[in-house]
Amino acid sequence: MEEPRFTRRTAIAGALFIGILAFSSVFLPPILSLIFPAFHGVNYDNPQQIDFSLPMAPNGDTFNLRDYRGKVVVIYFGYTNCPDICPTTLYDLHRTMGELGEDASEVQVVFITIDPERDNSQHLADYLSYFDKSFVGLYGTMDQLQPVYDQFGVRVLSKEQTTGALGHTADTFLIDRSGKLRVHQHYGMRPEQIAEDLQILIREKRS
Amino acid sequence: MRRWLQRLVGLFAVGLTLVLAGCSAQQGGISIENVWVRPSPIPGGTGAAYMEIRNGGSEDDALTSVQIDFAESAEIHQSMTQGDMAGMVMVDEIPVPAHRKASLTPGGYHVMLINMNPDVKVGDMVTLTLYFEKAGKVAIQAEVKDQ
Repeated sequence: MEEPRFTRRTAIAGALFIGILAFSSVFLPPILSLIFPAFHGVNYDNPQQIDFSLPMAPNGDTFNLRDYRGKVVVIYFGYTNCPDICPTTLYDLHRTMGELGEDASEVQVVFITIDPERDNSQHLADYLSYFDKSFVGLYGTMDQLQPVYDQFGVRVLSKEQTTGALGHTADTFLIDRSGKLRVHQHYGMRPEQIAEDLQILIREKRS
Repeated sequence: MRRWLQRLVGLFAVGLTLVLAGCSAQQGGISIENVWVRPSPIPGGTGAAYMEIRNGGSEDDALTSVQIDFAESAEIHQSMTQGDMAGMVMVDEIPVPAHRKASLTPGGYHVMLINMNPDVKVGDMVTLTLYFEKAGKVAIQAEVKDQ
């Protein structure tokens, strides 16, 4: 008579165990990711305040990053003569804006040239408006640009310095609403992933 | 009845040929699939061509050059990324080993189209002539699109 009771108890315990396991494997990851949002990109351990001013295409008006406090800013360094990596990233960023829907108005994408000799202001404005009319293009002299590259740790190697094929930083940088550099994403991230990282920063309160 | 059936089979064969011709070009063991051209965002800028090259033959082959009439020149390049860095080198050829596939995709191998004709727009069809070490000349039609 004892045996069936034991079996029933074991069965209930087993079912409970499986139930808890199933529940936690299905519901726990999204709950945890809501509490501790994780970026697809690499987040900086000690986010630094970024500030710079550069001429903006097409009119040469001054772009002050400080004026964009309250918005999430995406920064990408590239050059208009780039046939593969830059247009792929810019097109992905355009698609990212589509993924964001209404939240796209909370984001400003900024392209900074790494080829100031060739990328004049009109050139840059035409190039960017091809991908997305909302994208902003910055240029300047090397003396103006180098300190900006340095703030982001961007490396632009000359032909003589280039070893193999690696010539420039191709990361996308995300700046939060308070002007802190928070995340950098390597080339090749999908628009949905870029959008998810941006959503984390968009959800943060303005400070 | 038999005549009717013959016609149907004939029509089907023509249809199938047209569909296949639209998807790929084939010569010898080499077939080209999913070919597309990204236009230059600005007049006189650079564009790129991407595709998959399948080698169904038993001999290794290689894409050695590309000829076009809608840009000043075409070069075979390879983009590379490592960590945060990216760059590009010109290569002499893209190997297409026997029974294998070579992919020309964004961020990897591509045909760089220098000083593209500004009249080439999204939706256009353009012709690329590919030259292979063994298979020789293969002409293909490519759609111009953003991605």
